[in-house]
Amino acid sequence: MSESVRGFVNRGDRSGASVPLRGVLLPYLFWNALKKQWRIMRSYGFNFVLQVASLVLFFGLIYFGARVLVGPNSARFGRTIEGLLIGYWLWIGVIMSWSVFAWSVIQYAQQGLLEQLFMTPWGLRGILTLEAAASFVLDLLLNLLLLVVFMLMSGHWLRLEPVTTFLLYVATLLPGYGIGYALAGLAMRFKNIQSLFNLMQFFVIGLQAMPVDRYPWLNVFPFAQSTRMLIQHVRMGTLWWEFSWQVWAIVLAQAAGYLVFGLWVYGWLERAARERGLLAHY
Amino acid sequence: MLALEVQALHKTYPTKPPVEAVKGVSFVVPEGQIVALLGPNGAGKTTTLKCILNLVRPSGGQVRVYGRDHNDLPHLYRHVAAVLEGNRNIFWRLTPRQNLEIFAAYAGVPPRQARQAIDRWMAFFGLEDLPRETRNLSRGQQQKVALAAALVKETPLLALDEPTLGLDVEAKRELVNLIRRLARDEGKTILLTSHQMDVVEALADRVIIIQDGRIIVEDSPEGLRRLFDIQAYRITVQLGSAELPPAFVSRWHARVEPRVNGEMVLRVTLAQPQALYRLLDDLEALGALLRAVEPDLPDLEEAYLRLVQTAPAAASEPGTSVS
Repeated sequence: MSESVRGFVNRGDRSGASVPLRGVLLPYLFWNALKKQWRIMRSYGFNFVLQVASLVLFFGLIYFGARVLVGPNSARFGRTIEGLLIGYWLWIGVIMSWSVFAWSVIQYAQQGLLEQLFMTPWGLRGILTLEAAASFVLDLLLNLLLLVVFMLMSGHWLRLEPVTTFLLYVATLLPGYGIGYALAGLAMRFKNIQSLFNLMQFFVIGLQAMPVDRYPWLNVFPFAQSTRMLIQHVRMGTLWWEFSWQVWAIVLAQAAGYLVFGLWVYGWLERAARERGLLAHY
Repeated sequence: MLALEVQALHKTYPTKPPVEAVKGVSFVVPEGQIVALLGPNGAGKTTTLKCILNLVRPSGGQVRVYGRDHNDLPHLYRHVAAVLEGNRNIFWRLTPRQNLEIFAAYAGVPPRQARQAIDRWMAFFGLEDLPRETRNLSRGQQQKVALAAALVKETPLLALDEPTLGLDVEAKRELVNLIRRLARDEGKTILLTSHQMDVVEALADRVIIIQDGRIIVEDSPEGLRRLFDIQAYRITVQLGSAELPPAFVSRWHARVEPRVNGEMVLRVTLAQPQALYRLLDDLEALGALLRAVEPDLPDLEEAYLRLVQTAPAAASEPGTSVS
């Protein structure tokens, strides 16, 4: 018996009982996923710079458009800019949150990697979740940098308490991850869904602007409530423990609901893709 | 121990109309063997392989890998790694070492073991001096990276789908030697699909020929050749500068090969073994000097072609000959 097989047998792998998966290996796995995401981001450096530049340019267009429409010296403009900064910043975060799933599936399918990533003890869903967690770290750093750039461009500095901001940022993104799982499933089953992404980017703007104060039932849709909470934090200095338990319940229910829904859709579509032998197709 | 047991595997794709790609395939792979699935395009060999790997959901049948059902996915993927569709199984924007690091991590190989495995397989495939991104390597090198990325998972069973497809002659030969070493020296059990006869002949301990979703024969390469061990002969004669009369060639349906060093080789297939004596008498009457008479066994490619062209439509049980 060769050394590699002997070593394998001695690890007791065949019983499936003694390999230290999951809990012990998670930090190591996360670190490797983070390194991989960073390396690939660097490899596509030019494209990355262009994407960042387009986000900054787009902010410039909306900001200067708002100045023209509202007038730069009115109190209303100050409130508008706060809403614009927070809304746009969260919008970027939401788009990043679901893109990491759906674009990953599309790119992996094109590279022939979907099947390889499926063939792990964690499964494809586990690997995508891990990579989303790694991307969250990198995207958060980028998004914070972008917020600073936007504030510099507008000359308007937001007062943000870190813990409140972080909690509301995550609460906004969690439904986005849920939608991302569903989009990943769609990408696996139907492959070319880039047009759907483009449509949904605009859809998010509408969702953020939903009048949930006036029509509470609109809270079945995500993003609006948490966006309002963060804007309230910026305007009135409300800290995370000062929000009512009801609004936190809504935000957490949205997060849980969309995550569960997204995971369910993903599971159903992954089974459909395997039934049709589509994991290898692109 | 059996590394793999496949029983009555079925797969029907839910297309319109439905396509029955695998129709009751059964075979086993003992530990330490190299077993090749051979068949024409569309025969069902890749579908069979992917059903075993649970990448495609089977419609029926049972698959057991090292004693456990293949639906136990963590167990399955701790026991089998695969290289599918040539070199498209790797992260092209990462270097070879970075690829092995990420695949080892995703496979749940603990860090220290992963480092040792990475160093070992990088050395085995000669990848140490390749710091470039994998997309900048040659196709042969990319295929080695894909293989190393599978091996770093330290599974006992390896599944290879057309591992030498698209490689030039030298790269193919090198890869075949490496695969042979994996089985012989590293104790890996290998299940591979190919329609390159020279690869199958060089590697396989057993060949399973699949056609139209069914196994039509299962045997060693030598056994497959001997299925067609009929009265075929290769006769070497010296005839001076004369040519064989057309009447002789026509009567014996002889295939005459070009002369080499004044000697002529005839290849004949006879209905009965006794006819050989009459043929030799005819050659003597023509003044030919007999140099050698040898059995003319078909090579694996010829045996394979005869099998797939003559296989009956009904399924055969593994191990029985096709008449």
